[in-house]
Amino acid sequence: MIRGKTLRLSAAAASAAVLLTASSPARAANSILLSALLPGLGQAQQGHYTKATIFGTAAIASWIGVFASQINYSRSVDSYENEKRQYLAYQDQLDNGTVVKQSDIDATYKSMSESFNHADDQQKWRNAFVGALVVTYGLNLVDIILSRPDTGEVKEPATSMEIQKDGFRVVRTFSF
Amino acid sequence: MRAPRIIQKSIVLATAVSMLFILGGCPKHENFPTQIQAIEAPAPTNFVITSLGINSSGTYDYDLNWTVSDPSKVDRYRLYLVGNGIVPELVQETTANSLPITLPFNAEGLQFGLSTVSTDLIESSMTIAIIPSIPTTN
Repeated sequence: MIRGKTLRLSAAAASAAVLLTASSPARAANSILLSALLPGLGQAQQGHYTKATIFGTAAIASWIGVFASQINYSRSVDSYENEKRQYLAYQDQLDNGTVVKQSDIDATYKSMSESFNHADDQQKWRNAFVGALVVTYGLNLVDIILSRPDTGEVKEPATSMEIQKDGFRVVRTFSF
Repeated sequence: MRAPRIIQKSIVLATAVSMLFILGGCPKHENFPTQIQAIEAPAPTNFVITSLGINSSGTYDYDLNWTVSDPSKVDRYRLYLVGNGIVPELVQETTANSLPITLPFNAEGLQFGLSTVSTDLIESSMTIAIIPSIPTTN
């Protein structure tokens, strides 16, 4: 009797597992695709809204930082390239026999150095934001690959305690 | 309401491409040029203008004198007319350490600037001198 019930339960669990494996890969792939698009989307689809908010906020902030720092860096590079062009033009003028003022050379060299250092700083900011973005995407993808959908089911603790008249009983629950 | 897979894949691809563009496709600041290596001449010192008075033809004679700490680096000197609010105007170039000039008017208060041009064609900063008043004769 007990054996027959156990067999029936096992069969039900097996068919449920088959159904689950038939539908899970497509859903999981969709979640991964969404998370690759924007961190947090896959988690939101799976019902993990707190993680979705954290990953989404981090990704959006990182993207904004990347674009803003990229714009600043590009401007700094342009400024540096202009100063460099001007400085190299002095060398051409000297080679062509034109007199060049030392004060002009010094001023251009100074501003060129400042532009280079400014571009250096901007590049560091840009790299920091790119790093943050990569880390956010990486953690997000690891999380979405390893996590399972939140079905809303409240799980019983594996071990619980029942108070009785003359003492207590420790109960260990096994799920199949 | 799932978006078609081709759209999702396209968006993911576009995201990846844009990240690659940001990381590798942007201009970089590099190849800082080496400093221009050229001989610099020292600026003139003791630049003095002396008024010699009116000559026989009724014009005004002035004598400009100066020194330089290292003449071996100097190719020539440049004399400019300078003043408040005007762009320095090159008047004359000379290789000597003095320059007599004659002006048709009393140039008292007029300012001249003198610079050196090195053998590598680098021009120094200017040294300014003001034309003094004509000495009175008793």
